[in-house]
Amino acid sequence: MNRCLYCNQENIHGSSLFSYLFNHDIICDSCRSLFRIKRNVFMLNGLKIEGIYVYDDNFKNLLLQYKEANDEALAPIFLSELRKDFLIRYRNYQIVLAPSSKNKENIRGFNHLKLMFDSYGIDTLDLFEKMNNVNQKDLVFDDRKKILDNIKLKKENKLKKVLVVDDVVTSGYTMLAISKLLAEKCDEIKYFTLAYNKKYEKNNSSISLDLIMKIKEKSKNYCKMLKL
Amino acid sequence: MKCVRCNNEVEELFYKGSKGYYCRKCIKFKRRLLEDDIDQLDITINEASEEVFLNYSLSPQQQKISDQLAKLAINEDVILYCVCGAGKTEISLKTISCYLKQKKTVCYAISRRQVVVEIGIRLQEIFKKAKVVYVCGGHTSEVVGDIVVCTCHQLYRYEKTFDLIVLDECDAFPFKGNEVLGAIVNNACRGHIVYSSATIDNFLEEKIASGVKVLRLTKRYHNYPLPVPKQIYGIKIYLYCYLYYFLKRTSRQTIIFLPTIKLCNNFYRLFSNFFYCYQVTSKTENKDQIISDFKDKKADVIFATTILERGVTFKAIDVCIIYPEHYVFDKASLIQMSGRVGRKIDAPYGEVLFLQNQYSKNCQDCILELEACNE
Repeated sequence: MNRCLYCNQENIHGSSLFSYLFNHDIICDSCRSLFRIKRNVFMLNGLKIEGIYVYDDNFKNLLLQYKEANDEALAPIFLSELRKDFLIRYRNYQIVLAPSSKNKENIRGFNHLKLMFDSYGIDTLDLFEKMNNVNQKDLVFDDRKKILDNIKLKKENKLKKVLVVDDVVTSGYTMLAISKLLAEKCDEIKYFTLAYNKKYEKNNSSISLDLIMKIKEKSKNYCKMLKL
Repeated sequence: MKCVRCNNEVEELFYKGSKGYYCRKCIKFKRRLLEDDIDQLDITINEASEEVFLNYSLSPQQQKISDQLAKLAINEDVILYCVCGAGKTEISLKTISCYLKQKKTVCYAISRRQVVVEIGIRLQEIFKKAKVVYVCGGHTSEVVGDIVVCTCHQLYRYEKTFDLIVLDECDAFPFKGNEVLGAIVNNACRGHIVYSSATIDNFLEEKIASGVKVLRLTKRYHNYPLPVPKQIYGIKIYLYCYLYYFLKRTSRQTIIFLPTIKLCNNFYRLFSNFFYCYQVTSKTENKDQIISDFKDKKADVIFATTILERGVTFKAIDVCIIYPEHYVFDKASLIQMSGRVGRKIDAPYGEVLFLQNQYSKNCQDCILELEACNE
């Protein structure tokens, strides 16, 4: 019996004749419809990040089952719709994974990002190392900025085109730290995330932190001028 | 291959990961590799934890059932089949204290999260010298104590640990019809299980057929009869008017049960024009606050889905169920909802209303069973 990977029920794509014949998705239609797929390119801290899934409760449960309950079988679900993108659009790019702590990897027995790409035969590079075992999601928003102190480059080779991949982007500081580390070693860097926070859903404009800071500084200057 | 935790033998549901085979049927309770050993938690029972401090005495019928249960539960599984408000917790106290006296581990498992803390506090007041820990979503820092009160889901932490599990409300969602949870309860138990319930469903019928003994109590502890629902048939607008005049007429607080969240919202919006109302659904954020406010009589009416169906006790209330023929209400939940009325000895009376559009067999069965208990 062909089973859905997520709900363990029988997996038949029976919504139409076309999907019955040609849809080979590994999870059933009702499970797939739980996750909101919305491609979006948004600006964060001056970086242009591409995302696919909206990080809502259903996606959170899927990711928890994969990362915390250590269900390796779920790995091919995440990129099943994007396989072609990686083969065509990003074919010249070397895929670099965001850092994950060694401690957790040993407990799990696998690197969660690497396994996703491995299940489709895409090569990846694991360049970074997390020094302290700090979990980004436990920290307050301001403390997350300090992540640059915790990441270190393992190897120091020259790279050409690089695609940085992470699973969830909330504050974007991990991406910022990676971009600072890689900036001098690569010609071109692109950023890719599986899921992004709801607040970036409509944020297609190029509002970045830098811009806000510039505006604030300018307004301060104007205030000073007016007082003078 | 066979999963130790959930007894799964379907080979498609096993997956070979980087650390070996594991079962995917019970993966929601964390990965368990096939070759993992059973890790029993060491629970040592403190001295004198079995002493019971009750500031009221049990009624003669309760006492009788309680003695019988304590005698039977030492050697076998028992089904405790009592009407709502019969005091199932009090009846099982003697058994728990017997087990604690023999330095055996005891767990009180309930299917709903909201009830865990309430029961935990109640048991702590009764067993003053024992250490009662409650384990549920949000309270998982401490998992070892003399008496463990937890939801069925949390039992995955304890493998072959408990000599006695009192499984309360075993006819309720999510335990009902859930194979994995059933297997996890069996896996956590190395002694005997006391199933306590107000209705007999298919799962318990199978148990009875296999030879498990049933203890039955059809009287509430205060000996007043059970409230029997009154059926009102009519079209929608008539039911709305009836409800309005009923709420105007009654002097007690009222819980109104609705089948869906959407209906609950609509009714709340409509009736908040006329009465002080609250609403509780699974999507409400501060449920505990609202329920405690309602207990302090800050509002007259509360609109709820089946979330308030069991485990909560209010003083002097009426219950009104709208569309009881809807498929989310089955016989067990209808009996439970009518059982919210008249649970306190100072206010043993109350009304139960069924406002229905159509005839339904579940309602009829519910009424017949309640009438049979009163005879």
